[in-house]
Amino acid sequence: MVATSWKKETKVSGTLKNALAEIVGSEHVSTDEEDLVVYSEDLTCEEACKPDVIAMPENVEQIQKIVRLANKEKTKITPFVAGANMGGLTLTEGGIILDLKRMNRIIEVNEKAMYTIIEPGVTFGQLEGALKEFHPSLRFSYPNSPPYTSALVNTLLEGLGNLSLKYDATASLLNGLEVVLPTGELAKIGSCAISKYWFSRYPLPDLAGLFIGWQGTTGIATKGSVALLHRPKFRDLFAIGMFNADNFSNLAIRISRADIAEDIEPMSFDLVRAQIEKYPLKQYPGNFEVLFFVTISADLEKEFKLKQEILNEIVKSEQARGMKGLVFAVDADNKRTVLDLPGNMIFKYIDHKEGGGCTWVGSYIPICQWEEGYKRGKKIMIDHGFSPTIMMRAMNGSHYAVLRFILPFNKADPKDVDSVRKCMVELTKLVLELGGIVYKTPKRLGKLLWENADPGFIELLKKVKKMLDPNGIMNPGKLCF
Amino acid sequence: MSLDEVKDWLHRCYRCGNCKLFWGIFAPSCPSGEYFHFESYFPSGRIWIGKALHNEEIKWSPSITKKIFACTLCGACSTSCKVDMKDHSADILEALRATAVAEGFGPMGEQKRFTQSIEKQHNPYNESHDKRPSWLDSSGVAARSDKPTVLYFAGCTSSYRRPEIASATAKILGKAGVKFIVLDDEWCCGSPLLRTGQRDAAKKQAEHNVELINKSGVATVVTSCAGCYRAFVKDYADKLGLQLEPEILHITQFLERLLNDRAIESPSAIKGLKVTYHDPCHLGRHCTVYNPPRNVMKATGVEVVEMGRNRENAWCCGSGGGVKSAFNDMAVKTAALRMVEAEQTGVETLVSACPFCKHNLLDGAKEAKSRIRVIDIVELLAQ
Repeated sequence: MVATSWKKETKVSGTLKNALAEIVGSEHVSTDEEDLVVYSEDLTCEEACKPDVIAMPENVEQIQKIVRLANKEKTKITPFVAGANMGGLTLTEGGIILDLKRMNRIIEVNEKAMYTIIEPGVTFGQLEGALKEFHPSLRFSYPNSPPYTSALVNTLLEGLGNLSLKYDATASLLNGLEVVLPTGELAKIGSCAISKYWFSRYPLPDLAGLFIGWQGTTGIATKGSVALLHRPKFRDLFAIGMFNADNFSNLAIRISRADIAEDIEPMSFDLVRAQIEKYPLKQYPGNFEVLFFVTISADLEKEFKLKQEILNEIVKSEQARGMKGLVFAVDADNKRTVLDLPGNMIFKYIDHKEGGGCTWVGSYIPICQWEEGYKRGKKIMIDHGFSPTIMMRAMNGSHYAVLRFILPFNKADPKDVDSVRKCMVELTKLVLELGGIVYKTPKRLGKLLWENADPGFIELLKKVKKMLDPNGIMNPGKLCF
Repeated sequence: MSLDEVKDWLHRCYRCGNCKLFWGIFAPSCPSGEYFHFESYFPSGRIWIGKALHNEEIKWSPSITKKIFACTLCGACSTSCKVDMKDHSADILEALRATAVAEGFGPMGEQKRFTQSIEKQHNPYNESHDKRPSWLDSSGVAARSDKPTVLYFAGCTSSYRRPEIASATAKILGKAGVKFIVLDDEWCCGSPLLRTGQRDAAKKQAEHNVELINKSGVATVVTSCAGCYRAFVKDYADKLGLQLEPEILHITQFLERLLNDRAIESPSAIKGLKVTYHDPCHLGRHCTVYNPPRNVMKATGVEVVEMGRNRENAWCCGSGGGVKSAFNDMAVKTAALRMVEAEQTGVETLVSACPFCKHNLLDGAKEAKSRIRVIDIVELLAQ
């Protein structure tokens, strides 16, 4: 990545602050020490990094002006909405934090074509609240993240949602974008570049890939169109408790191939226990190892019951083939915890160590490596003194899977911070060894991701980055190649 | 309260963002966050400021004071927080305010003025203490019962700014045949001082009121003000170590009792009226009094059309916590948002149960150019 000579001083020049104030208004710019501190850290174990200034634009024109100013001043820009990112992607040493909260309009919902155009400050909670009130037949694919996280940012970071079994990572639901490039120009991507409808990225050259998965380093999305999905009438959660982690991928594959589920979400039993019990978790022999949750939905009761029957048949068949597991009933409250997203599941385990810190090593992994990744990852977590709180999800028809090692930790304990960092290194190495890809990688671990990457791929990425961002101002350091 | 007393909680906030919205409906919940937008104006930001102060990463400054005192203390954040922090975030903010005062950085200038007024004139409005009972003279109701069972505590806002509420309350009590008195020497309940980190000053006001109230021999104290109510039922004992002997009721609770006993009749003028109801934070979220006002209105034939944000998810009127004094623009704009929300119900009347809420909502109605009539529940019943 091209580096330029950054402004190294920690106090931003009065010129820059004044120039930003002229763009967004002085009440929307801050260099107050306490503001810089609040934006300098997040819930992860990444080092605190103090920006120089916070600016809160309200519209596209203001963002363009700020970007041009940043190029002129050779000052970096880091976009921010919720700051709850597990990769520490909003932490920046120096430069401008561009807090996009004020850009939180749901601009349009096209109910028939099933998409919505949203600004980056629109959160999952806001989106679901609006859909439930005004368009109750529609929903989005929601992750297990807090409701106050950006829907558009999640799609750009290729996040997973509760409908990813059918619709893949949320990036697949992106129909189009409006972006401010790192040089200040405005561009539309997808059908919206030609048509007044933001219905698809096809059949055009798909430039969305210049902004998806780049961790905020190639531009600032000012609008995005995401596909909305049908909200079915019948929906329920079924649970299979497995006594070992030997073959849950088989079950996922069979359920996926039968096309009866909208979500398959296995998780370690300890992740469930961590929602009720504080650290440390006592281990009891004979407990479940993995809880395998399946969400089934349908519009007709007949169809719903049939899907349930098929699920039961598949489970019986897998049991006959040696799967050590059984179906068990989940009470209504706990069902809601899994089914109702945006929801509160994460809050039930995030405080497991009562420490104000949580991070993870999250990955997309070939489903054929699911069990081994789980077992070896579990050992790594236990060896480093963490409860093995592991969340998984079958993605895109079980073509691949999520393997996420969740690490609540105590921010106030330097030893625990050190342990979690070391644990993350080993877990990252494990994922890469098994052929998986870590996502939302903090820069501390980015080098591991890229060190064995195809040189041609890296070269191409660098060319694209240089082309889009010749001065290297956009969220530098977050790609690590 | 000092930051040391809450130090074990300062690192426990994840900044997950739940404190920025009402759980379930996911609508905005934090008045100062929605007005100022920066992270430091949301509850999580304040907690992290507290952590940085305690760790000596930053030092007290006027800009920190502004952030700490721009909170209405509505409690919406505690309602939405899903981790153990929810039981301590209010303590952290109180500790921050008390520390600001102790360090000479608080309260805000305008709040210091009302502090001086309370200390001198026993009300935050810099009005003469002698004029406090004037509302009673113009109410046409005598409150000099021989064997009173009820003491009506009007509170500062009803006495000086919204006397129509105190008058209406007295009229209802009189009509119901309630033998009530008012204090000859009623002082501010101390709530504005408690909310701005000035516990010692609040105690002086409270001790005076407790002595007089306990001497009165009444069985029940009734107040129209949600702030006074909260101070009496929670703060006097928990924070000041003072015990009020009589039962404390908010007027809505007392009205519910009167209606159940058939001591008052529903005015025919309000039968079939459609209104919306604004839950005052100190009455609702802080003291969980949600049903009595609704029951009173239902019993009198009034139909309540709820706003989207109601009960524990009620949007704050914007004036509490000393904000009306120090951040009037924020208070009015917050109230304006509430009036816009009220308009969406399609009704013509908004009813609340706190004179301070009414006071600010009227300002908000003007700001929003709303035609909705804002009244207190006692005014509804006194028609």
